[in-house]
Amino acid sequence: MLVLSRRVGESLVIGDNVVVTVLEVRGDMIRIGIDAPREVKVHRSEVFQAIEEANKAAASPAAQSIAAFTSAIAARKPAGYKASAAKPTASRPDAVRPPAPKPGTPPPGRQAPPPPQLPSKD
Amino acid sequence: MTDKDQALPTEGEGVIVGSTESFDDLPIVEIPDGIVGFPELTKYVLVGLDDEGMVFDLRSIEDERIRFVVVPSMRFFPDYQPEIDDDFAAQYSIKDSSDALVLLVVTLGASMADCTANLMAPIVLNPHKRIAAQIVLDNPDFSVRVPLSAA
Repeated sequence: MLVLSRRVGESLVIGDNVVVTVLEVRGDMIRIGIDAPREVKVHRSEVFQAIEEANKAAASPAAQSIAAFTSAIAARKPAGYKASAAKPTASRPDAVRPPAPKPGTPPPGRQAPPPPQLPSKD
Repeated sequence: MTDKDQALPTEGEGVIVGSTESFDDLPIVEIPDGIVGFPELTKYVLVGLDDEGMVFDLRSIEDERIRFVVVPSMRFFPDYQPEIDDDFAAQYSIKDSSDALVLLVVTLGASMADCTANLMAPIVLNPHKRIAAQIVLDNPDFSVRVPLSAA
């Protein structure tokens, strides 16, 4: 690992176009500014690791688990829909958000590629 | 399920080849940056798992072992509105909310009570362009494991 000392206001350059600047030092807290092109993703490492771990845990569940989950969701549908069903279209506040979906009706324009059916579902 | 897994093609140049059943018709979703932890996989298909649009299967067509159960955030967390920065919106041609379907990656557990959704890193999909990315929200309010039973 390369180790460098920097003062507040000083920076270092990584590669051709990533600039890291020390903005402020207060106690054991250091504020850092990063200038990088948008294809260079910058994350706090613990955040990135948490997401990576969550994704790996989520990846490739057993077919049985998927089936169980899907039926659990279907079974609780009435409760799950309460939030949206409770807002009748007429009294919906129109300004802020797109309308809540009506049960069984995929919201226009918000749906992914036409929801395909799993052929083996039956 | 298993039979179909095997039927999934493992290689594709933008076209699903050699698949049986209805996979031929499925549009490919490009995730150019990959999903965090799986940066090399950039082509997926999104398959509905129910008739209501509540649960989807996001499966890699490049590695048949990799699939994610995802749910549209609005169906479970209607108040969840992640902020998308301008650069991202421009890059993925997102002009308004109709250009962005927000999907949450679900980690399945033994029972419904153990199933969680990742609100910290939603997958934002532009359904018109069929491109998507997993975005990272640096916001302490959003956890990677929010129980779906709380939704």
